[in-house]
Amino acid sequence: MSGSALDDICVVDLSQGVPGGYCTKLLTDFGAQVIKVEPVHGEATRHVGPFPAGPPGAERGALPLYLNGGKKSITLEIQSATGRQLLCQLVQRADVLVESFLPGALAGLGLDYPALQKLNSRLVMCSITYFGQVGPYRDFLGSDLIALALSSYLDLTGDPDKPPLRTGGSQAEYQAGLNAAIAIMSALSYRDDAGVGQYLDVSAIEAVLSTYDGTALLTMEERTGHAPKRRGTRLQHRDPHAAYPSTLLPCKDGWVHAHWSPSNPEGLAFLTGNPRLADPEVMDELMGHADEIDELLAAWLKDHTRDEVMALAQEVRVPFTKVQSIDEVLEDPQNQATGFFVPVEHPEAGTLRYPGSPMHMPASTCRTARAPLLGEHTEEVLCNLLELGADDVLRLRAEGSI
Amino acid sequence: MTTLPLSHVRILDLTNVIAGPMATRVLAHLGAQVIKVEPPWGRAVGRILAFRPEAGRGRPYNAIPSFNEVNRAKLSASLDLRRTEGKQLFQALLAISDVVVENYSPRVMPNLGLAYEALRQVRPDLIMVSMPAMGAGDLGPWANYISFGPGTDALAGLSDLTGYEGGPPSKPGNFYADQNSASHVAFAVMVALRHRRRTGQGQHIQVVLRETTMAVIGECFLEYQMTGGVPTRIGNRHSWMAPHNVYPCAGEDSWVAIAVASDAEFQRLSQAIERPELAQDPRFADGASRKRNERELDPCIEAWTRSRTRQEAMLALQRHGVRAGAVLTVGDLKTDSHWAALGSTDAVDHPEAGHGVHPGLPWRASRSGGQLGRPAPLFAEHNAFVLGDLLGLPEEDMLRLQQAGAAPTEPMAL
Repeated sequence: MSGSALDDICVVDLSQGVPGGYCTKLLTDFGAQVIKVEPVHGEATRHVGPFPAGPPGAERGALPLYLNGGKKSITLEIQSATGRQLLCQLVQRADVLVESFLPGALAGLGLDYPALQKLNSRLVMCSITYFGQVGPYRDFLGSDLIALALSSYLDLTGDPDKPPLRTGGSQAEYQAGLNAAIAIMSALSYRDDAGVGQYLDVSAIEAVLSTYDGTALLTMEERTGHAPKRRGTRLQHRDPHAAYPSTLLPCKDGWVHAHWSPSNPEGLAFLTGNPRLADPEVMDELMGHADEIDELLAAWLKDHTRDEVMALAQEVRVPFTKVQSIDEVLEDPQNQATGFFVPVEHPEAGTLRYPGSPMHMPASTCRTARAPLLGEHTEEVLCNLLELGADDVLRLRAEGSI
Repeated sequence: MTTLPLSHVRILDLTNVIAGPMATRVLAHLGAQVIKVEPPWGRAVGRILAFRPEAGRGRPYNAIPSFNEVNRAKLSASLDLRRTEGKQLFQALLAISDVVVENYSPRVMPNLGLAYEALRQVRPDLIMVSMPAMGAGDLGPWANYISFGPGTDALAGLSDLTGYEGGPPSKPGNFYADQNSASHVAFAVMVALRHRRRTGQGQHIQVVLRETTMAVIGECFLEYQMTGGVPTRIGNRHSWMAPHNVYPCAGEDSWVAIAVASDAEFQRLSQAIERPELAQDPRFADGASRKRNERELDPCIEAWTRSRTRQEAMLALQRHGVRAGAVLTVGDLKTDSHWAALGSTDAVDHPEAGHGVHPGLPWRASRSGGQLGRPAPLFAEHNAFVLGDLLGLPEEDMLRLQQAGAAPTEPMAL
């Protein structure tokens, strides 16, 4: 019996950067064989760091180490006719092709979906770009910051009297990758029934917009004519009757996230011993009393540490949590107990603790494995999958195609 | 042949608020029949919460903007799962369903007698999803802690990574952790459906909210271990790109974002802003120098952006091959020509709440798109379909259940 959901799926990954990287990481985690096709000098994330002390190295960047675990790496120059021919042979045997070039780039090489579909009608081809394959911005150059700007997300983050603020990490790019993985799974499901593949056009800006679901921002803007704006650490809704707090507040030794819960409406008063926080006047208009609630909570919080606040609040079912830095998260008692971070050895980067999968699926084996060295599997893939001989590989190497 | 990928899938949705409902909304848009099993008291189901009903838009419990967004394309049936009869009907429904999704705090389902082990007795190949905030199963000292999405960002490290340079921690606009975990759930359910298709085996999936946030900042944990430096908030700057910031444009609260990734791109930027000498300046000659001296670059760029609109600045920079984007507001999305061309918002007419605009599926598919344009259900709108058509209850039984409050058509007071 099969051990995982996707171990019959072969993915050819031409993408560069976080979006395609996270997309195929998710597929790898559940058993897909992902063949990462890199230019001879390695794909972009291998060169951008952060790197450990010492010179930068294509095998030692945090991003490729994290995103490429469990994938196979081959080098192939698709700019050359030989390289393209080998890629086409791979595509004939593949179930999924992921790419992240600017729109039209693959068409220029004769490798767009209409051409590849003729080689393999079951192929699911997924293009991941910042702005999509259509529309006036399709040829724009993008990045995580630019995608956050053009999706309006940037405008929603930060303080009202300060510039719009980027969310930490590369969240537009991660959302693009995550939604590409969903789109690919839906196309595989369709293919399991209908027998044919299809083309998917995923954009980072739309992926970011999808994270507005459940906040009704577009509808409320349409109804009121007022665009929701950034409000510091408060939620965008200004209705005085809306729930509050959901915000960050300082305590004795750092910051906590304070949250009101509808299933424990008087919890704030109970926690702090301040009856004003359960006063009907306040309770009826929580958001309308946001400044006062902040003050009342701050007066209590200043005498308590983050750990005390979280323990005391959770004890009485009030959902307060503490703000932790990256090093604290890595060592916190919950992560120690669950073993979320998994030690993995890598020949160049040594043994590091990697985030495991947040999706716990006991029946579908999930693996945390090391990232491949650049071109580590070129020979294996060409010989085993494409059935080339050792002398063919030598010749391709000599002419610089691989 | 249908054009929807999940048209053969039935999902029982016991979720609340945002994270769970968004996950099943994505699956509903992909063709699954999602039945929202609502408690008889409308209040607890996210029909009231952070977002109050809008006056004059129908019965209050049917006029919650957030509920009507995140529950699009689903069916609603009311059922009191605390009663024996409610449990029996739920089990009958379970026998003809593929997936159950719930996002209660960890104690609730076992207390109702509806833990996975009990449910799989009824449906051995059941796929069940739970969404604990802190940990799978009862693992760890925080396993029973309660938190909404934004609170898990704080514990995961994302709040510490977000904020102005030198300022306090901040948080992503919106409910990022909820929506991020929702998409992971939608992905996981499709993985599990494919696993079941190939093996006949169901499973209990647990997607841990806090862990989904840690997964999308995964490289930061490796960076810390490799360099010893703790990644933290740096405003709009970037670990290696420079310049990388937002710059004020003509007009109030109007900005353009600019990101420069290479020396060649910086040369193009210096041409675009009519300061070609900057590219010759040793302070900005290569990436490392620009990163070191990025504060000195900002005024040079700002002097140029200030006299232009966001749109003018973006177009001029992109014409020169420089990464640039106008900082759009939520309101701009409906007038911007690119967003119009993408056509990805989901315009829906709700029978009581009226017209709404929502995010759709963030991709275009050449064969199997989504079933968009469908409103959220009214409370208990589909009781007759679910209890009558699916379970075959005679009308008098349905009436009795309704009158007894086990499956009411109007929410009851708590």
